[in-house]
Amino acid sequence: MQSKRIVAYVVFFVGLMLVFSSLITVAQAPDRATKEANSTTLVIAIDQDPQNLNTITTSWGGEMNRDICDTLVSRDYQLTYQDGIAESWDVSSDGLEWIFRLKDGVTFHDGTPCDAEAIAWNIETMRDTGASAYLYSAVEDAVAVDPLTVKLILKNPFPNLLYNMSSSGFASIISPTAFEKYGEDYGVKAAVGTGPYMFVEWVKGDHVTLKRNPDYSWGPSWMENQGPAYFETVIYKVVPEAVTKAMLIQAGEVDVVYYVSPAIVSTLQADSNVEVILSPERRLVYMGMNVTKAPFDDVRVRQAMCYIVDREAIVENVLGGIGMPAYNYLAPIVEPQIESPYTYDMDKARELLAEAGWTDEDDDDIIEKDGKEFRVTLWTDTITERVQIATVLQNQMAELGIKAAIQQFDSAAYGDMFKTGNQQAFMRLYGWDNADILEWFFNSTRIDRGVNKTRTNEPLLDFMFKKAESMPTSEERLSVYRLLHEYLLERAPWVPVYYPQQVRARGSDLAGYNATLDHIWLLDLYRK
Amino acid sequence: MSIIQYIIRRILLIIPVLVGVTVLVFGILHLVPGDPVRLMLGEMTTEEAYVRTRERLGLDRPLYVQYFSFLGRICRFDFGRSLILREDVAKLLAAKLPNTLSLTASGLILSYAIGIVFGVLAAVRRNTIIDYSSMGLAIIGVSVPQFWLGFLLIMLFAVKLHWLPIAGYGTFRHLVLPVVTLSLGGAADVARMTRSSLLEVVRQDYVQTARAKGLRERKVIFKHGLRNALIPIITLLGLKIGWLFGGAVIIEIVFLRPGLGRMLIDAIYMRDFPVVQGVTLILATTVILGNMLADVLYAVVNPRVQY
Repeated sequence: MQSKRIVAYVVFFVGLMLVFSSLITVAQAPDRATKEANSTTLVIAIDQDPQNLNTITTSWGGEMNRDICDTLVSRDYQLTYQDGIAESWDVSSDGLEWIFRLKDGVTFHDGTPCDAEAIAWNIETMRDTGASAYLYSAVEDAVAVDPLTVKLILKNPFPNLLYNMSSSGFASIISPTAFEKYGEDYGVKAAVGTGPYMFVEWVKGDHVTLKRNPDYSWGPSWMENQGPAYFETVIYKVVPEAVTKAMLIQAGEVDVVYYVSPAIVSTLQADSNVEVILSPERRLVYMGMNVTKAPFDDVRVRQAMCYIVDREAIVENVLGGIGMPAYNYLAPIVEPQIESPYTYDMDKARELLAEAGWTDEDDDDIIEKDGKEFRVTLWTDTITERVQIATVLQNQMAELGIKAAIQQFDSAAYGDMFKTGNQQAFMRLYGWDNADILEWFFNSTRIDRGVNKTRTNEPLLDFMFKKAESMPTSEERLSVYRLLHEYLLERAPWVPVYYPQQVRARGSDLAGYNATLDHIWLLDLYRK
Repeated sequence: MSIIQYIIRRILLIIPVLVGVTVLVFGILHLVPGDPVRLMLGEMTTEEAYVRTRERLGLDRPLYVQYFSFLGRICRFDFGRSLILREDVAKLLAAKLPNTLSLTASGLILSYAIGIVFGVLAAVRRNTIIDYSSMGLAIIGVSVPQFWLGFLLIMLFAVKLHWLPIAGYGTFRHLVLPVVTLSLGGAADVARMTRSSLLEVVRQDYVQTARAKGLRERKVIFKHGLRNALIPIITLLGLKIGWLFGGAVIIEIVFLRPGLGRMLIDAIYMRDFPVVQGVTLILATTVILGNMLADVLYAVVNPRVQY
């Protein structure tokens, strides 16, 4: 009798637990039908219109480009190369031949197949006529071996090819048929890729609307969902004003904010309906110096500037803690990282300046050399944070007896000003997650175009850059970049200041939110 | 000269003014640094792609050729094609103009309605609590920055009370907060002007005569006083139109109204020359026509005015 009762209790409790656990399971992971039913429209606030959705003619296709188009290769949260439209790939031992095997059944939104011919067309068209032709500049030939195999023959080994192929804003695969059909209107009135969302309309200055691609079944394997996305409609709404964005998400009129201004982070963090997501970034804010113009033509003066920045204090007091102190030239997630010699040390800065011959001879609080006062102009754009940092640096320089005047330019004019070569010191920001950014900014071939803003012209550096980019393997490439990074830090053309943090916000009723550095992935996203 | 002749002359005068505007805007835009192709393609682009795009957009031609080709097209009412948005400027203008016009016209009407009512009240009840509070409000109205007022109104009426939408366009409800924000500053100006003008008029002999004849105070104020007091207020109308378009830029950004102001700012930042030219021409024409309307109204209100 007793044992029967025990058995009954056990059965009852086990049953109860099963019921509870199944309930919990249901609550944790609703099925596709429930997710789709709850997820009708997703509104995402972005800062500005895309320039164009045609990635062949524009270098920046907007945030929605990754939803409309897939890339041949993808990069997961750990920045590892994973499948995209290509299922797998091989590279020959000399690094000159790449074979990409495509997923079967991938089709563009216009119904045409995304086969080897289409991929070869994309690569060759971009290389020959594209705004970002450099992506494939190493490609000699792209051959469709069979409908599901593409062979790339390279002029030289180029281990960075996978990185370029996975760049969502640049290397999207588009439909050759649609590109031909729409001509000039492609990217404005139509955009056709193989992505989880299809282009519906773009009302300039207001929004871009996308609708779910019901046939999608080739999502990257590292995503939970490889099938169609859960949200039926996605609206990218252009909201340039930071405060308006905050109020829209607080009122629930917007579900996701792509870029949250640091100034409104605390307001959003206090709202239980909103979740603020802070993540590491790939951007760096730095002060550059023209190495061909006095007084920054002396490496000791440039090194002195590297010691005057109290980076921790800047992040804490100017940026409200939203950022990370920067000591070298690459974002923390980018290899190769180098231990920087430059800490905050005003005495060391004074010492280096004195060594370079800059001392205050007439007690007027301005240092001189050969009777010439140390006066510089520090250029900046009008972005508030950068102007603030310029002001901090101006004060720090004043402590050393340097008179710095700040000159501001609007963003369009700013880029062009560097072509004149009149810059002395300048505030600047870049966003990139690959070491080849060093080649981009310090190769002497880009001085005239105003890209190499420090006007660094060292044949040794140019030679090393060329060497790095044609090393057969990624490891060897990185080891050359390590040397380059070390050398550049020593030459000190830049004063790294801070890494801004990426701040995004989403409604707390959303689940399955996944984001990489450059994109919020919509495949797993649904409304609870 | 009859008023019709005057209007025709003013319309003809628009042409040289607009040509002047195009020279100024074209000159300034091309003289300041900033290259639309560089902005469009980004820093990472190759030199070949840069040169190709410059040629495609016709930006490699000498400046004077570009200007006269632009002028020639304008004479045929062809505003060209946006460099960045790759769309006909005329089409863009047609899409945005109604949004800006509905905002500014409603803003103008509301600012005059509020301003005149408060101005008359303040003048009639001079040195009373009504006068002080009206003028106090007017000073606040003039001093408060529009974007801040806009945010306060959104916070109260949209976020807290949920009476009106935060932002957007298309319905009357979307128009309420932007128009109120835009008109309050203008209303303050009109109220102050109405008050001082009316106070000056009511001291005139003919107003005293009207009172002496035993006319009711309401008739004295509205028929004899306000009609004459309106003359400087109408002069203000011409200035207000330009001011409202300026304000509309901020309002359109805060309230997410895709109008001419927002498009102009974006175009300036991207050095989208055809769009900047197109919007400037439309705005200049509207302001000139507004001023002309003010002049005509001036004559209607004050028959002594001869043209």
